[in-house]
Amino acid sequence: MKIILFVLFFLSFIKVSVAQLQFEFTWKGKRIELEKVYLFANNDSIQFSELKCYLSNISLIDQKNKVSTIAPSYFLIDLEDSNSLVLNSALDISKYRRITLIFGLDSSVNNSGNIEGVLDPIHGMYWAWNSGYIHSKISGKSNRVPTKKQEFEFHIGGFRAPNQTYFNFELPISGNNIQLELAPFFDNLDLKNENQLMIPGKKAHDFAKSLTALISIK
Amino acid sequence: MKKIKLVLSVGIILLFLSFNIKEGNPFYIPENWPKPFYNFEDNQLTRDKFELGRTLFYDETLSRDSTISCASCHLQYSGFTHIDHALSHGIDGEIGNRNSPVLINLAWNSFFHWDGGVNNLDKQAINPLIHPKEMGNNLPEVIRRLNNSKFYKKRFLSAFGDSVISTSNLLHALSNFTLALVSANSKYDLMKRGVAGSEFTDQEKSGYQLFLKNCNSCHTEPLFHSNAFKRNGLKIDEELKDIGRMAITQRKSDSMLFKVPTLRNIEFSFPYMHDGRFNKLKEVVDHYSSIPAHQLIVSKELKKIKKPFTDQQKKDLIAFLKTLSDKQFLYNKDFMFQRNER
Ligand code: HEC
Ligand code: HEC
Repeated sequence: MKIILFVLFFLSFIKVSVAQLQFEFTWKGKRIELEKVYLFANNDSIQFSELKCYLSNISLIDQKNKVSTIAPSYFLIDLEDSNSLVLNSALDISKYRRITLIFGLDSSVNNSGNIEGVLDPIHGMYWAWNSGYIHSKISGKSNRVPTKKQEFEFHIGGFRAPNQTYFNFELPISGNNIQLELAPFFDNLDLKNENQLMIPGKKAHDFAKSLTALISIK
Repeated sequence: MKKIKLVLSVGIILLFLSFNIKEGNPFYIPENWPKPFYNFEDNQLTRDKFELGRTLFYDETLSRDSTISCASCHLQYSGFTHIDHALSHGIDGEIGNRNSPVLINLAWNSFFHWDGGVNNLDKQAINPLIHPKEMGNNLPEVIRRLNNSKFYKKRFLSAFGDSVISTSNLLHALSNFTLALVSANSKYDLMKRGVAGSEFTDQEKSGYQLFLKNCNSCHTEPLFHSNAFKRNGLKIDEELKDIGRMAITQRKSDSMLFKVPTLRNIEFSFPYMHDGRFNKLKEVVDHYSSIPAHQLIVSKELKKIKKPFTDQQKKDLIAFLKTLSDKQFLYNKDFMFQRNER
């Protein structure tokens, strides 16, 4: 009996030691926390009230170019829900060389009838009038926004070409943390004139494209 | 090989028959109709789900203040649309931006809404549930209410084998009902099937010929739509400023394109067009008759109408349109609100 317990204990320990992928939003390399104040280079301030995005179709590629897919295929990252930041998988990522994934959800998901789990529109990441998922929500406030409440709110989505907002990309695995670095995105944004986005279109496409370029593994 | 084919076709016929019997979901594919677009693998049709969908369709408690049901805007005897109101009336007396469309033969639609913004019937119902001018609710609240109801927990358990009610099962139940709204027993259909007593009168025949020549390229038989977006010559309403398809695609070339709607049961589904601007079929036919006079961009199919219809031709066209009325459908007891269900 004791031996079994010992083995069980040992097994559970092995499981924990599997290197798992984590997701984090960062501001100049620091992990972002909701409602905390961050600074631009000129000391303008910014804080976030909501950070959410979909990742999908994650595959890992090993030394021999063998591809393994992480199931389930869809992940809804929500900074408010720490469980959502760990991309649980039985695969030990330290054994792999490269990773491919989609930032967002591709058109087949947007067109299909599957709305189970993280795809359930109940999570508020869905546009009903223009069927399709909101791939990312980035909201908060900054003194750069010239309104009374100083709030900005970006709902980025849309899957119809040429304004699709999902992007496929591949990265070398150089750590366990998938990071989305937001400072350069806001540096290039004119928050004075652009602080709301609620519809698919060219703007959403451009936003999603520049966000994708800011994803790295550390 | 031949044997397999025979077994297969007998199987398929049996399958269709099984759809027709009372025990099954009343959805069926009428003879000689094209293949439906709806993906039935996502949502198997059953009698239980159909009846549950029907209960939900007539239930006001799905709206924020329990005053509006789907049926408030989709009434059976008008082909499941609003009548009298040009624009839909929802919660708190709010008036929407569009005329509610008929719910007929939805399995054959490849997209939904006047601008095609909705790509899947199962996802359509989210719109009215959460629209601030329709039912004004939100999904977490709808799901919470259903899960708090012993009545619905029992019904969902029996329909889906799961008493925990999910968005997916709610939407699938509603689709089980709306898909079943098949209309294919109008005088036109009976005439096509050669049923005695359903022969067209001379006037209907003449109207049918006019229709085939001028209207069928967009309102194509047997569904009387074509899953397409077209410009039928309506001028933009300066107050509503509804630009149609362009709101979805953001493409300038899609400005003022609207879905070609079905004309089945058109006699009873007034008012007409996306903004309900016409009350009578006569006005619709007058509109098509006078398009060449408008200096507007219209879809090429309408360029065939070279000169205005004569009064006689207009009457004939309307007589034909009325052969698309299907009383069996409009008064089908199986689609009605069922008393004493609870
Ligand atoms: C307040 C009125 C209103 C209510 C309530 C309402 N609808 Fe609708 N419905 C509409 C309008 C208006 C449209 C067209 C919307 C558009 O084109 O933008 C529509 C469109 C539809 C369509 C698409 C039809 C097509 O051919 O494109 C379906 C299906 C539908 N409704 C089902 C439902 C269901 C199911 C419910 C209940 C959950 C419901 N409706 C409640 C007004 C309403
Ligand atoms: C170019 C394609 C086209 C042709 C040809 C055409 N229609 Fe239409 N029809 C449409 C479109 C698009 C609409 C919806 C327009 C809108 O609401 O903005 C429509 C709407 C209608 C409606 C209103 C339906 C409803 O539910 O509100 C009727 C009735 C109608 N057409 C009859 C006809 C008749 C009769 C003819 C032939 C004389 C005809 N149409 C020819 C495209 C066409």
